[in-house]
Amino acid sequence: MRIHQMGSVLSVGDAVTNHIVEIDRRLRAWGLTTAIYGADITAAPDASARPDTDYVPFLEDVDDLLIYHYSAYCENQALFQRSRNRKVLLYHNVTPPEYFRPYDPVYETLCRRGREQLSGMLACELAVGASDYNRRELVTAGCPAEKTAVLPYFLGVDDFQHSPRNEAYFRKFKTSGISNILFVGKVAPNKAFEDLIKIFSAYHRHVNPASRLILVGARFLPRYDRFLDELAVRLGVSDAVVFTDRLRVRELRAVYEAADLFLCASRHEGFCVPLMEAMYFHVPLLARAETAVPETLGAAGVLFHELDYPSLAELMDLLIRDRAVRQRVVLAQDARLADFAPARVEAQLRAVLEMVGVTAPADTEGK
Amino acid sequence: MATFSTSGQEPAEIIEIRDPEVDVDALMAKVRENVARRRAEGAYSEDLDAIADEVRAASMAERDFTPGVAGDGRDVAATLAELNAHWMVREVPFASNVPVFGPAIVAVRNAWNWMSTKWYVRPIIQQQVGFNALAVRALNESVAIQQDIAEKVRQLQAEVVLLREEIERSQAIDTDTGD
Repeated sequence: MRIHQMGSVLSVGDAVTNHIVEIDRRLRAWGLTTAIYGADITAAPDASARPDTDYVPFLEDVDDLLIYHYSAYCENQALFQRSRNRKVLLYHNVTPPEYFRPYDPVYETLCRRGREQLSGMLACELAVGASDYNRRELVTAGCPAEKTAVLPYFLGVDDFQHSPRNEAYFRKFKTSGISNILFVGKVAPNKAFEDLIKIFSAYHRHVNPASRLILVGARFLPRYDRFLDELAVRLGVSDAVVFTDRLRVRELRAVYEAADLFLCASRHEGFCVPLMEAMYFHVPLLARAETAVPETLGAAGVLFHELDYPSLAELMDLLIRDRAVRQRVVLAQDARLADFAPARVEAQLRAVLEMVGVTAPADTEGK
Repeated sequence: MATFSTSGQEPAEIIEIRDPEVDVDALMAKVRENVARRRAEGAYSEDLDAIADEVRAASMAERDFTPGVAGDGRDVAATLAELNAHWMVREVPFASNVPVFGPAIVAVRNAWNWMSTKWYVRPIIQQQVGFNALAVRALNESVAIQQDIAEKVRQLQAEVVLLREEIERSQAIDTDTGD
């Protein structure tokens, strides 16, 4: 019996790819035979990743298990539909296409197809959401609730622990007297970067001119990028807004350790792994209460429902400069992070496997 | 869990803190106090949403709208994306870079624009936006249907090729067996 995992584009730094690798690491530690496949593996972090066509010989093996990671429309989803393996759909959510409509018709089309075709992916033994928010979408799409489960992300702390921060990068941002406000995520419209810039401008112009907004994430939509750049100029904060593009782990660790506040204005998230990362680095969180974000934060962090810029600016200042408030918020975040401890997520992974008749042996690596 | 509105004008829940250990009352009192103090000093007067809408419209407006012709190689998807980006017509706030007198010019122009847009231009804009929205939606649906049909044609063409090969193979077998 083999356990196959398949995704669309496998790339370094991508949350879905990281999750695939983390699951694979556990499965192998439990003595199971595994394989990872992707439609595009050119930037895959794991050298053992294979092109999805390598999976074809296993299509008819009824004892095997195929875990398909669904985060966007991809032609290899047809392999999942054709497969006679036991099948688990792991749903990471697909961004509603409306967000891309003004900026890019290709991404809009891919997202529309991704959401439209979700219902056609439910002929499987189990459909798993990376959050309960995602699980409920699976039920809405037609999956019986009793055939659903939740498996949150593994926080890839090993990568952070084994990668010392880039000191030069850290010093570049951790300059005396400057407050760093951070967001991490690809520069996509559903993450509402324009709202981040607006909130920051209220803070920077009226509360704390010695502040900086650091935006970490791949830029891939020229029209959206141009809008954001022009907005920063128009609001007079272009010198204080830094787009870093995607970062390697050493640089990412440096910006988390230099951050005074993590600000998230996303309108659509299926989980939002960077929230977990911010908790890991003890950075207080202020986040928009939309989609899966309140669930990921639990009782931690501070949520906002409306863009009341003056209130948000003043609240940011208290979270950054009031030591007592900051400590209390971080303490609650530490408690929340414990819910995502590797041992707990491993137990949930074992439970998911048992639901499809796979009993994982004891850890053979003594973990 | 505690939720608060700091505007003091409506009961909307703006901020939510679920940690029972946080003294939310004290925190929000401080926020309200700071907002009031800075407002009294003239801060927070800008309409950030209006500015962002204006910048978004302007950043997408610099386009070549010259109509093309069929077969000129222009990507339908790109044209459609342009339409989707521009169906909303917005009033553009007036700005002046004239030193010293700039604010006065802006005030006069804004007063005039307010009168003219309220009674004359705004109803026309609303009609135009309504028409644009319907037209672009119809085009979106037409292109989606066209793409689906094109996909089906491709599939049918592939099936035709397979069927032809099948027929040729069976004819060859018939010939071989002499039936």
